Amino acid sequence: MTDPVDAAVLAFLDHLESGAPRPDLDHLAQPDRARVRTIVNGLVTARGIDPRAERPAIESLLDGTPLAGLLPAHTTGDVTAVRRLLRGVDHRATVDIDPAPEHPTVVLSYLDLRARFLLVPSDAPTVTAGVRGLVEAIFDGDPDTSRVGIVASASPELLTQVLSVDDVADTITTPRGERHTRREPPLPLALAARRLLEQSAPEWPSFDFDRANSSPLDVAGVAAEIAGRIIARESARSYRGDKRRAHRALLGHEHLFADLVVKVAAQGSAIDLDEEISRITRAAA
Amino acid sequence: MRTQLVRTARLTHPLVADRARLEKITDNMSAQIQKVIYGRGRNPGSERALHGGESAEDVLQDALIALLEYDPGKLRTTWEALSVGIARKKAFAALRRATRGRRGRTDPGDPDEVTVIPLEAAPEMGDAADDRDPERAFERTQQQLVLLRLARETLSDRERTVFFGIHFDGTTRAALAEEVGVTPQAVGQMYVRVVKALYEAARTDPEFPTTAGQGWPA
Repeated sequence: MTDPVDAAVLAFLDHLESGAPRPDLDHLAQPDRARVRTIVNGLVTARGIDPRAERPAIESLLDGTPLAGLLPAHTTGDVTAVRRLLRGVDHRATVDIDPAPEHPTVVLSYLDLRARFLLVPSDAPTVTAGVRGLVEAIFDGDPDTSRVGIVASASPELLTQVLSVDDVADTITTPRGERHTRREPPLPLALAARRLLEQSAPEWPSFDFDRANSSPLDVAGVAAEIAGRIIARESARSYRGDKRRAHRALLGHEHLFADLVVKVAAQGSAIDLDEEISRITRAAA
Repeated sequence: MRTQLVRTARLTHPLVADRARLEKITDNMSAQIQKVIYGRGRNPGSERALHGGESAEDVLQDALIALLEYDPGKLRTTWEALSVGIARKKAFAALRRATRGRRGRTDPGDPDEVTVIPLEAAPEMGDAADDRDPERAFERTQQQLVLLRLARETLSDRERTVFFGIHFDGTTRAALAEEVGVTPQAVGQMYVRVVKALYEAARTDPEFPTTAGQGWPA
């Protein structure tokens, strides 16, 4: 048997969508009437709220305003605070909490980038042996993880050290004892995440292919430029004897090659390219 | 001078000391602003933007600064109620700026047209009196934000599409039926099933406020 609440709510949707009469709730029992009223009032209240939007972090909203330094920095970071901060970094990325029982992380994903941010209770994101073990476990547990960010939860700006799998793998050091790779510098969480996204998913300025295609290509100009560059480079080399003289003789005659390219590019051209190049070379010699 | 102002505000403003409360109030203000700007007379398929380039986030920034600059000594209500008033006022001001000099010039259906429908002209549905009481408006909106969080956490993609479409966007069941590939009747049934399940789950959620008398009966 149909729930009377369902019928009443559907009748309200008819009322909203097609102007059908507003349904009467008098026939409903008190609890059912309360349920319908709750749903209908919720519909009114929710209308217009963007369910897909993420609000920027308060720090981002106050950034650049006279109140920029008003809020004390995060000193007791938790995964919720980290998630909120990360959500304000880039609207393209999705940010969720992975509630792993022992070490929950905040996962930032965009396309094939997946970075996990792990909170450690310290004032600096130092990679100690314990932290290194945790990071290795995270990389082992989820092979799709590209980076792990160590977030120092007691630091003023949630200082973060981003690590890749190479940073925690066993390596052979150089005789001078230097690290084979340089780690990313520790940065405040938002900056570290932004840097990560800029490196992994840079945003390129838009390029108008239609406009680029509509402007005619100056074949002669391009050929002259390329010929000039090659002749200048070749004539500057330490050739000797005839070869040197031949290359030097071509300087200032780039237009010969440009003219040749234009002739070859012309439709129906019957020019023998090898013959023409030999002729120019002989003349130069 | 600025540093001094910031220091003074930090010392005296209760919301600065209570970060969790400020986060909740800011979430609520964001929702209030979206409701004013996009809630009525909006084509669900249209882009969420105001003419002139202003966005809901710009309005939220204005509202948040106004809230934090409010003198706590002059407060005669709760911060939550005050935040609702500030957010709505800023949002209506943004709408007025967006439509200044444009009303009467655009044709119906013009993509740049911004329509402001008075509250009284909206379809008769809920308790309008509650909407005018900022305390209740805050709590009602807070309830919807809890439902939204639960929906994000628990619903499948298809269920989310239907719930977000009907509940928040005002999309018709027929339009959603085309999108998800089922009949409009099935969309309606899915919405009712999902919304009841979400209220049932919210009943035990510690963040779901019920003092406005709009809880979900056991």
